This record gives sequence, C-alpha cells and structure tokens, in this order.
Amino acid sequence: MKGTHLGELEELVLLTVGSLFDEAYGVAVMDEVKEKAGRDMNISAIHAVLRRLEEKGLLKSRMGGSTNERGGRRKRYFTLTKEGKLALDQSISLRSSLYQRIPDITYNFST
Amino acid sequence: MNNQPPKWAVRFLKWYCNPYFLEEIEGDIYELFERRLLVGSFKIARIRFIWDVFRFFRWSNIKRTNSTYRTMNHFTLFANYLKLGIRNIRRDLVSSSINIFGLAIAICFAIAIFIFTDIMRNMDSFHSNGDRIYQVTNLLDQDGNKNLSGDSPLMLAPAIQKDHPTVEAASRLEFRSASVKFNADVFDELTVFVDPDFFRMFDFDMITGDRNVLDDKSSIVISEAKAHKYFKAEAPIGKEHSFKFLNGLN
Repeated sequence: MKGTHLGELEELVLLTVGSLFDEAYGVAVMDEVKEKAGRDMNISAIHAVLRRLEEKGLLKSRMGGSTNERGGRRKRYFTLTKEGKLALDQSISLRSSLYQRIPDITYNFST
Repeated sequence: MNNQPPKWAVRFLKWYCNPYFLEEIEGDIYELFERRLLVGSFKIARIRFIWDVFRFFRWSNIKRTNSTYRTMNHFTLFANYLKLGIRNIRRDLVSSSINIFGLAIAICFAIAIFIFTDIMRNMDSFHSNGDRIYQVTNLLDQDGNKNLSGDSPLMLAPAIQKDHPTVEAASRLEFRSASVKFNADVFDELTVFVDPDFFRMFDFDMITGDRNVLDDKSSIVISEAKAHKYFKAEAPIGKEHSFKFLNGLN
C-alpha cells in the first residue's frame, strides 16, 4: 500500500464525506465539492479518490438499500473511520499551527 | 424517442468493469444521466453518458483483483504453510535430513534413468535403416581378461562384404586430426574417413550436392557450420581444400 500521506484533493474529498455524514456516495460527494469548493470534477475521479481513501483505511463503505431511483441500483455509502477523523484533525491542526506563526509583519509588506 | 442511454455504452461498461464496482458506477452514471435529461436535451445527456463511461475506463476499475475487496488472502495462507514446513523440519533435523537426502537421491536416479532410456530409445532413430545397421565390436581375450572394444581391423569391411552376401553394405570409420587450409586460413579439424557406402547406409540429409559424392576419393563432405566457417556466404560446392595430417600425409 502507498503511504498514508494525504493529498490536497484527497483531503477535500475526505472533508466532504465527513460533512455529508451518512449521505456520502459518489454523486452526492461530486455535487458537494462543486457547490462548496467550486471544482467541477468528473464522477470517475471522485470514485477513484474515494476508493484510494478506503484503501488507506481513512474511509469505510457499505452498500445502501435498493430503491426505485437509478434503475434499482444500490449506492455505496462512505463514512469516516477513526483513522480518517484523526488524519483530518492532524492536517487541520498542522495548518492552523503554521498559520498562527505567520508574523504580523508579513501583512505590512504585502499591502 | 425512448429516453434511455445508448445500449452499446452500457454493454461496454458492463464488459470492462470489475463486477464488484459495477453497481455503484452504473448507478452514479445513470443518476447523472437522468438529472441531465431534466435540465438539457436528450442528445447532450447521451453524449455526456458516453463520456462518463469512457472516463471510468481506467485500470483500477478494470482489474479483477483488489487488495481491499478480496475475501481471502491466499498469499498469507501460503506463507503460513511455508513457516509450518520449516518448523516441522527443524523439530527433528535428523529424520528430516535423511528424508530430504533420500528424496534427492531418488529424484537424481529418476532423472538419470529417464535420460538413459531416452538415449537408448531415440538416439539416431531418424535413420530409416537403423534396425539393419550394426557396429562390429572386437572381443579380445588377453590371457583370460576379456576386453570389449568398439573398433575392428580395417581389412574386415571389404572381406566381410566379399565372403558374406547377407552384408549389403559396409562402411569403415577412421578418425584423423588434420590441419585444413583454405586460401590463407588454416584450422585444426577432426576429420573422418568413410567408405562410399556411408551415405547409402545412413540418412544424414545433404543440404546441397550429390549423395554419391564419396565415390570420388578426392571429395569431402562438410557440415553447414564448417561451410560457414570456411566460405562465409559463398556456395561451398567446387571449392578446394588442402589437408595436412599429423602423420605427414597430404
């Protein structure tokens, strides 16, 4: 298995799955990414990222029940695992700790 | 117009896709197709559907093995067998080394017997007269020591042909090392002298030239490899060699 390093897109999808909680399947994740991040992605790319995250152990999946929509085909729902939540916590705390260390003087130069 | 996605695209998806992922992928593409039908024309939805099918055509969706979704990990089981085997061997080193040694000897003998019988049954079996060709051997009784050798007196062949009408043909073989010269090149070769009957008894294929060439005492027969060695790409027929044998004959 590849390393557990979290890519930018992977992190975005992981956050989206977390925010959708129990309703995260391929198309829903794609819509959410488009709506919140403004990124128009193909459904196949979303599938690839979701599967990669599952292989890394950050997501787990289950098949939903059969309904009348989508021609009776079931959806695969993804949810965060404990490791997934931990990875998100780590990446966000790393970002905020680095952000806190930006000296105020930087803003003076950039204006 | 029926508002269905193109059948061939669905069939293509079903063909390449790993059955494990097929339902979710198909479902998502269908959902997007139906949604596009509501907002746009059938034509555009159809084209986008086909585009989606091709976008899903990637190796991770095609391959049939997957580390996460495999139900049983066969490799770990084989590794376990290997480990158990090594432990059992170590537990009783004496008897297992005897077993392994005995098995090795047995396999050696089996292979040796196979090679031996293979040679006995098939060596030179392409000669059509093989069952009628015999080698004359020589059994010497030296004061009670019986020695069997594969050679016989040179004069035997003409004599046996003359005295015994059942002998249809006979050929003697005499090996000599010689220095062979062609133009400026000189090589040491092992040469064989045979009687003219040789090619009437054995079925060695001639690549080019006459099978009765040996009736002429001044001609020789060479293998393809030797022809390349001396004449390169030139035709070997009609070229002239000079020989010098170790006992001084020319």
